[in-house]
Amino acid sequence: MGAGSVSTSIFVAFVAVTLVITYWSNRRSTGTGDFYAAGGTITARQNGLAMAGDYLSAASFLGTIAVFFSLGTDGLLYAVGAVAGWPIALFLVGERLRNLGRFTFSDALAHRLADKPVRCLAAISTLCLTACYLVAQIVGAGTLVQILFHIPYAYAVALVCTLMLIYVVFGGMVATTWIQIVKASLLLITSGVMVLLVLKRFGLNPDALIIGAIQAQPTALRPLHPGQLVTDPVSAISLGIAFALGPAGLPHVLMRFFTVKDAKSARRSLFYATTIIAIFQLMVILLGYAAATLIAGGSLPGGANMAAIYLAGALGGDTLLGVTAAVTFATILAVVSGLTLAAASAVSHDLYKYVWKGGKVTEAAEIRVSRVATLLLGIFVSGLAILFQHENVGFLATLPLVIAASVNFPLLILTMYWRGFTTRGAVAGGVTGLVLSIGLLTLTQKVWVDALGHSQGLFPYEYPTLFSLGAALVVALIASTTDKSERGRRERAAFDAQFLQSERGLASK
Amino acid sequence: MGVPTRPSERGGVVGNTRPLPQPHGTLERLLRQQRSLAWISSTLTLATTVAFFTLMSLDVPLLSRIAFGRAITVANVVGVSLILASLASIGLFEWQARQIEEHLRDPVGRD
Repeated sequence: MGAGSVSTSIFVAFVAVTLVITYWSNRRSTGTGDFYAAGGTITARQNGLAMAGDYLSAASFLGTIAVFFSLGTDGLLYAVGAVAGWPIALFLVGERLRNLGRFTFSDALAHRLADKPVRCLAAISTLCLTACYLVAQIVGAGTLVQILFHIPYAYAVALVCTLMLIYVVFGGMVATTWIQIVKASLLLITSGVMVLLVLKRFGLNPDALIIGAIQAQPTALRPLHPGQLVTDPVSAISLGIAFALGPAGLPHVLMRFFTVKDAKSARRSLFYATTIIAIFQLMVILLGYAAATLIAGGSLPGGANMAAIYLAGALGGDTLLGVTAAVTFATILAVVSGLTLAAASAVSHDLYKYVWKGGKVTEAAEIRVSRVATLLLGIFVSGLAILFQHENVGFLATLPLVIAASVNFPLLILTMYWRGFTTRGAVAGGVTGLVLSIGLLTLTQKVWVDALGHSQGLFPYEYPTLFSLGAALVVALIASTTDKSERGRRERAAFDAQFLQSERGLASK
Repeated sequence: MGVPTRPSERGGVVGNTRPLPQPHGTLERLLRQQRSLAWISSTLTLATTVAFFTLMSLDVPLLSRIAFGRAITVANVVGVSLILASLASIGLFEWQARQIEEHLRDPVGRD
């Protein structure tokens, strides 16, 4: 059985299982609580697996192994970075967000700040962030499917978007969570099998593995020397900040805190998610060096991003190659579903219900708006994915972490921990972080020159987080401290009660 | 310091459902310890990540030095250690959180 037929069979089986899950979810979903938060019925362990699944995208698996394959030691930046943000999300955000919110992270922002402005800001940031993430993922998925299943790119994009829409429109958070659990389990099992095969070949001797990578690498590369992926310290600091603070501001991850019954379960979910992600990244380091050792030599068909797929072929023949390709595709499918649900919730729960209707809508109307938003978003991003087929959209994959670290993270931390934070500070700081993160990234060499064709980049660094987050914090601080309004006074006075509730929970009303 | 009543329009259960405990000695001390642990661990995580990224970008010679065997460099050891340190820190935080939970279950016996 060839790789193509193995991957097709597994992919068809995955789609069949996910459609059954969606049908089952649709039958048991009754209201917004089920649609947005799976009715709070997910256990901590299940939620931890789903959270890890949300974060372990194809970029995490294919991208990190690709960096080890092409640049050697620099792959450690992605492996270490992928873990760094999770302990911070657990320590500072997890339980408190669960105690303050209900469906989206803006519920926590609006707890003592004014509903309309902060929800509007949070929704715009969520939409910008998820749209970039979605386009990057769907372009990747389309290319992967095109190579693996030999179907035209536009059909591949249509297939991905149709499945994504079915999952979210009919299954809501229940389906999205279970699809993420299935996918995360498949990804962990496949990676585990690959690691066992690597260990079988090299023994328990990482030294031999790295020596193999050095011998196999082209002489132009220096596998033991870092400094080839990020070449200046200012960009490195910005990337490090984005990795460390971004996960605690990703809306599709934050939504998962509300799918469990209480704050204790939210904390334990994060504990399990961090453990799973850390173990996965340790495996990825081994697989990265294995890819550099076993498949080095010239350029790969499909580019360095396909190194993980070819490594699977080198380790386990066509069968493992087919399995890995199908699992990678399932990974993208699950991640885009979670992102779409987060974006649709920002539209229906934050913009429609609270900003437009002042909180007075029926659950049925809210879910209807969410489904329409999902459909429109699906059409919009599939159009963009087709438009950008031949463009380098790699930069879009970094934008979500930069926006999350520059907008959502500071807003959440300031409202939870700083008494002096007011709506005026939230809006001024949030807008500053959002405009600077998107604007400065657009002016980098990677976007302004490589993607948009200008002759010279206007921002000298690769990532802007240091500047966008720094400016957001300073502006939020100044705008809040100079806020002498009656509303600002009320918001400061409400801090103690909010702090108590965020730390200890609140009795059921 | 009363129980917050704002946004009543949300309806449903917000947060967990245990009764609001009255602050007293041991619980206050445990919560303070947890807050300190959270901020110290977060600051350390951010600082070590940023420092590691900066040193990697500068290709500091120390990072390319062999630490074990013939090819395992200091960069590899530091990278893996940072991941393991993250695991250790969440383990410590979880242990601390369970102390608070145990106290909430039996506040009198532990005070």
